[in-house]
Amino acid sequence: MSRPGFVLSVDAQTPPLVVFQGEKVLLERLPVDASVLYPPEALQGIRSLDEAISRALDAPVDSEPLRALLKRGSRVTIVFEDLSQPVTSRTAPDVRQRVIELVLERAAAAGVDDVELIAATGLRRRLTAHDLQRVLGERVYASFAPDHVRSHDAEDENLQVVGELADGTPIEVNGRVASSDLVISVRLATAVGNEGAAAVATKLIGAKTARARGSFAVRTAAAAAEISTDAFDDLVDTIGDKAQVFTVDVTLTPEPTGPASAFLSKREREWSLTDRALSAGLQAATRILPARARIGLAQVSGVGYGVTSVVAGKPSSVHPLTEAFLAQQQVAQFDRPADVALFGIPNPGTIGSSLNPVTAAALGLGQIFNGATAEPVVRAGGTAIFYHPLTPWFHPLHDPAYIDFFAEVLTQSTDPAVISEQFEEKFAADPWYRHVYQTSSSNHALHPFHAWYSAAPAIAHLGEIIFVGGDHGSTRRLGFKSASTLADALEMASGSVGLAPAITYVHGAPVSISEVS
Amino acid sequence: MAGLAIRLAVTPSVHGLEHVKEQGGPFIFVANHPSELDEALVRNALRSVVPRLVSVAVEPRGGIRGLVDQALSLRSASRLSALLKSGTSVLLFAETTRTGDGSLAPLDLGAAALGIRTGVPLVPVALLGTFRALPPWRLTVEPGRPRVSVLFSRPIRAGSGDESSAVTESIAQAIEVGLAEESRGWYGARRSPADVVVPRETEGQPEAGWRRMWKATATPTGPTRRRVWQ
Amino acid sequence: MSAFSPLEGQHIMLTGATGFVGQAILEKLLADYPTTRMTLLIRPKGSLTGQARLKSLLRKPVFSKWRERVGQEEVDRAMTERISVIESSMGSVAGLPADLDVLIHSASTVSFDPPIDEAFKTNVGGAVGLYEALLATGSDPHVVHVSTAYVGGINKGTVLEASLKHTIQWRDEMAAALAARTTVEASSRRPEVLRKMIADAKLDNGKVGPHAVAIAAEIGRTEWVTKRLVDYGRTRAQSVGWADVYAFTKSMSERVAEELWAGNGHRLSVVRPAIIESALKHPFPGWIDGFKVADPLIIAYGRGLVPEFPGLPDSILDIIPVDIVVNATLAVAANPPAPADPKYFHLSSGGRNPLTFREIYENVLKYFRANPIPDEQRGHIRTPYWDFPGARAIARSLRTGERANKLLQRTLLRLPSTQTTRSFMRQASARQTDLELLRAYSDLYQNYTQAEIIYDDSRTAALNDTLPPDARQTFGFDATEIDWDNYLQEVHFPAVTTLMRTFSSRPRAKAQVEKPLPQNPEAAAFFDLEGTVLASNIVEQYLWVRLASLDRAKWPQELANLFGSLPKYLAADRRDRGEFIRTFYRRYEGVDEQALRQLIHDTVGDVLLQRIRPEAVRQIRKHREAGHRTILVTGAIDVLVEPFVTLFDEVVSSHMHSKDGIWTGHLSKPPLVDEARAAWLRLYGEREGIDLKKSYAYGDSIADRAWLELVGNPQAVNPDAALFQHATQKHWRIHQWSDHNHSRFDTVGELLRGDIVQSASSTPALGPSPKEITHE
Repeated sequence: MSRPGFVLSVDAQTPPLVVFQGEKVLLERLPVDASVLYPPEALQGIRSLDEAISRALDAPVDSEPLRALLKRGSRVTIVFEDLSQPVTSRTAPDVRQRVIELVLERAAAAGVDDVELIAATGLRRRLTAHDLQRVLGERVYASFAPDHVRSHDAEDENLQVVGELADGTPIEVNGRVASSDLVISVRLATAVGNEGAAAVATKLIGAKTARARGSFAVRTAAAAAEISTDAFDDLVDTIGDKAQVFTVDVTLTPEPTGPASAFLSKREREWSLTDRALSAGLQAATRILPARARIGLAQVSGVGYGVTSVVAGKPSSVHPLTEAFLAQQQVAQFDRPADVALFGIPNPGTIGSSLNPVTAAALGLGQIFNGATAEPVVRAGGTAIFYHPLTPWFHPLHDPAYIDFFAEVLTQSTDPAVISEQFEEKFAADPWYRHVYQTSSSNHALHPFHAWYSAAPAIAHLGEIIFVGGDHGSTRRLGFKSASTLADALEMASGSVGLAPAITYVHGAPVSISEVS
Repeated sequence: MAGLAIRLAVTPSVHGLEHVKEQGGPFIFVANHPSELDEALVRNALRSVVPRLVSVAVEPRGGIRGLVDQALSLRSASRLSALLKSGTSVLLFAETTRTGDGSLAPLDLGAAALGIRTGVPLVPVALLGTFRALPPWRLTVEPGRPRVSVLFSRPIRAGSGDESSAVTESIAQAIEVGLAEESRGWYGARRSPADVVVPRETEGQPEAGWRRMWKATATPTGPTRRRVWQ
Repeated sequence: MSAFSPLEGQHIMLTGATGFVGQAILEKLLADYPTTRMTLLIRPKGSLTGQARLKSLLRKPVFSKWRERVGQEEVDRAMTERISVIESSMGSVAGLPADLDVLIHSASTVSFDPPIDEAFKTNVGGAVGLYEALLATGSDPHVVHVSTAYVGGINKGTVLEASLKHTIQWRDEMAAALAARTTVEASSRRPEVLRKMIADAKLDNGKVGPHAVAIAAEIGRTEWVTKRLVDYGRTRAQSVGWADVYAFTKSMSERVAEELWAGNGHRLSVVRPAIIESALKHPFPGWIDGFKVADPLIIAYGRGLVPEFPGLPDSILDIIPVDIVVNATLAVAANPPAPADPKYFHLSSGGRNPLTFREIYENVLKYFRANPIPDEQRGHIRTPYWDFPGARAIARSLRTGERANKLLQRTLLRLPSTQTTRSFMRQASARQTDLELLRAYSDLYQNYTQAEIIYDDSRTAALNDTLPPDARQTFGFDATEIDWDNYLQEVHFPAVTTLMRTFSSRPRAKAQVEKPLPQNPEAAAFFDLEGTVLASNIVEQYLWVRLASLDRAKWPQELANLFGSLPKYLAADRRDRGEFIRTFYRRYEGVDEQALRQLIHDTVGDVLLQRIRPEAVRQIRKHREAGHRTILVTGAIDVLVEPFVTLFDEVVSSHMHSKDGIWTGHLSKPPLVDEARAAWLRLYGEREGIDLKKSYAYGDSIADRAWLELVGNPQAVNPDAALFQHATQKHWRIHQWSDHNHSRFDTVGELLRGDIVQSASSTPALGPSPKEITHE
């Protein structure tokens, strides 16, 4: 049994606490009487993964064992999640690789020849050969490359219609998936946040469908509606006429990967002398190193994942189990929402990259409603203070739509309704974006829009949004305020929350980019 | 030291270690034995995972080392069991004879028996490319850092009631799958046993000896960069 | 006489009516001499007839007070009834009216240092033509010849109002001046001179192409001719005792008037005004048309640009307000002398009411301290104190400053172009302009402020005394009446600085939102690739391709080889870009085209895409939205340009010659660079019906100048130093597109990782192909 989450009340003896600020790790002293929300301590990762996976595959929930579902001559498609974050520690193979190997062994034993692996990227960028190798392992990748393993292409011509959305737009789904006999989906869920929609098909839809589904109007309507009836409810267990879905849900927990980062996930009160020394070393290094090297530092002190549970079977039965399991990891107990909430935003672990400002902001704001707690940590109209430099850096290959979104769209307006009306069509129809999405490795043109819409409820909920250490120009462009220290930020916020607000700091890193697409 | 020598001489690639890492405790590694390079290679691969390892070959080693083996009486099953109980893993080269051409010879039943007796998991290990790198007629490893692979399969836990021949058969199959990966790819190697339609041998008779030798020593067609300049 | 009414009912002819003094004379005649009739000699200018010029002349501010007083209808009536226009130029004066009573000749050159032949043609030849035409009419008007006080030459002491005492023959000088042009033109065509012109032109324009060099060389030659003729003028003037060719030619024209007019028994008066500045009272205090002699100096001082000045503090600057000059001239006109006995009048202040240089300086200082010129950057400009160290010290510091700045500019041109060097370049250009200004003033004012001449104006004073007392208000011209402090502080300085102030205090223009481009299906946008759309060059592209296809072990060898050949390539590039391309592309010998295409498609394409400039993509999109055709023109090989093809409507690139699918290392046709590209552009425009005048072109180096100039909207993108200079001069739009912060090392890192490819032979076996299996 791991320790449940708890709330620390800051007093004069509290040591400075770890706060992630992009590629930096700060030690901040919080004002007295602030609360610090520690998430429940991570569950132990499963030690013997092979056994756990095999057990799940052989005794699934509400379904025949996988062996029975695989028949000679079946058309099988394996669909796996892409979280755009490294999953499991750097040296061990990816958990998806382990699951897929076991699945494929059974498929091979059954004599299945028609197997394809598809990354359920949704509107995210295509995974490069290198990415796929990392996820699937060299040997599996080599067996199926280049024709039988690929990423989902939302702009593909060969999409199949399998249903209809509420407003009449046809639901177009990946052609291969819809025409398969058996679809095995390998899904990941992290301790904070959720697994997303129950239907994996939401990540395999075409661009038009995604646009209709994710548009701002639809989102606001869905949020306002009492009952959420999703058109995708029909697609949870079967996609189209014949594709039966068998899901393997894996829940993850953050685990320190580097030798130096163990102390980052421990509660500061419990740091040993070594931990304190390491932390001092990290502080010094962060101060001295230039920004690009700091990003490399994050690799050493980064955070990876361990597996906490593996459940397989019928998606509509497995999904609630996963959700319940994850709910255990959330902190439910706290007295009342605070006036001011603090969040740190780290960088993802991919080498040499940092978050672009729009994604960073969306990640941060996603913590309001999809964070470590069941209810929002900050009251309506309160202030949220984030730590991130928001440097206007964009990956030249992955983010061309983001660059233009930042330079053209946000300069005109930050209001999602206006953005959706004036710019979405133009971006969606642009041939260059489509070209680089399909042939190169770029996010789809709608991606920045959906990221911005997903942040909109949080922006509406909050009164003030301040970024500590944020680049002044880009913070302003996004419509937020920037401060150089926490004290300044609280000063700025005092206009709306008063001079002695109730402050809560949500400790630990956000580990999932909430469901963007 | 030996590890460094190995890494300088060849380009090793190791797969499947995760299966070994997850379960603690000693293992019985059962490997094929195409060349003299094998022991050092496996040791090097396992150096971080398995602290203590002792290696034994079914076919007795000649010369001084044979004498050493005699002295340590490593060939006896009871000695090996004792070692296993104390936490030392054992590497068994279980082929009854060393084929001179790198293919797999039938395995001795002793490995399985040991596993059944002690309850220690058996890990089939397939070694690829070592025959090519250091064939029996060479003194030193082939220059150019030839590629060699060490493939660990999933551990087989033998219950006390299992037949050692059945266990041996599953070990042999696992090693064969590993060996087949070179030519058929990962999935293809696992696929082929299930396929009774496509026979393994085209004619139904074993290949001529020289053909086997030829295939075993052919230059590997591993992944290379695309040649643009002719 | 009960009412003082000079020039009653007289017919007055006026030359130079469009000039400063001429306008004022015309205005005075219209306003206060209501019974006079005027004939104006106006030269047609461009498409404007003399009549049209008169019309626009009457709209000028000098006539505003009069128009307010009498109303527009009266102005129109006056224009038709009191004024008639004769269209001619000075050189050829067609029929003059035969009933003139007075001719006021005030037309002359405007600048102080024209080429000698122009100066003589206008000032002397013009007078000759006028007087000869007048003689031809047979009439006998009183001619008032407006000269200048400085015909007195470089002298010390008092100059009396009398005919000039020199023996220079104006006919000889005129002939020599006109002959000088022929000589100098011939001299400019000598090989020695032309060689230097070609060398200089090559230095600046060599990279653009031979055509540009030729044009620049010819421009250099004409400039050389002009400079030489100016030198002829100044030196000849100085050798015979005048400060500059203006004073020299004006004195020659006095001789012409004396000889041709007074010498033929007619009445001649000569007025010699000093430095004419803004009006004291009429038409309104402070009226001035353009800046006069002293004004640029005042402005420059007010803007803090003149740290010191060459001049003696006690030297006298002879300033006279224009309305005094006008009144005096008209009074002279109303009092003709005896025939053949010309009278001379000095219109100056130095005689009886001198203004020393120190007084001017003190007034300027006081004025600008109280009313500093606002400067956007610095709040207000603080004017410096002058010490008057003397001409020599000034000249020395000026020389040093000029040399240092020239050196700085030359150095900056050689350095690679970055943000910092560009701002230095801007500062250096600004400093050069300032230094040139100082040099000009220094040279010019030396003579005016170091002279120790007093112009005696007793005759003028006597004439003023003949005015009835009640007429003095309107018609008086007494220099002693001028209160200098008041005049300078309240009248002249404000007038002169008004223009400057209104400009500085304009509300700062808000940062402009980019307007969308005008729709035009016949326009095109031409883009260069390297350095403009892509932040890389052909060497880099080659490197990525080469490294991606070699094993890592061979990389050091390849890099060493490339760096070793670098000097050869740099030398070729300096000579000619086409040559560089040809030499470099030899490295592609032996490439399998299919394999290269695959490589680009799989990996290197992404690497190239990473170097694309997002602003470029946005700009291309804007052109597309405006219906323009987007065209990429580059010297890169077409296979390497594959990833960008979708961005453009059309792509023109180099093509490698191949044999059996293998490249030979030679191009299949000459590369399209520099002037070849310009020629292609012209051809393309004609063939496709593109309106080049409405089109756009984007380039980044000086070599691109040749084809950038062909379109109506050339744009420089991250220009190198030389192109930056050119673009600022020609007012081209300059874009700064970001160099991506994805460094080259990251690119190499990705190449290291990402591209191991299964060779064709080892395709994974999946058993029989899925297509062959039938589904149950």
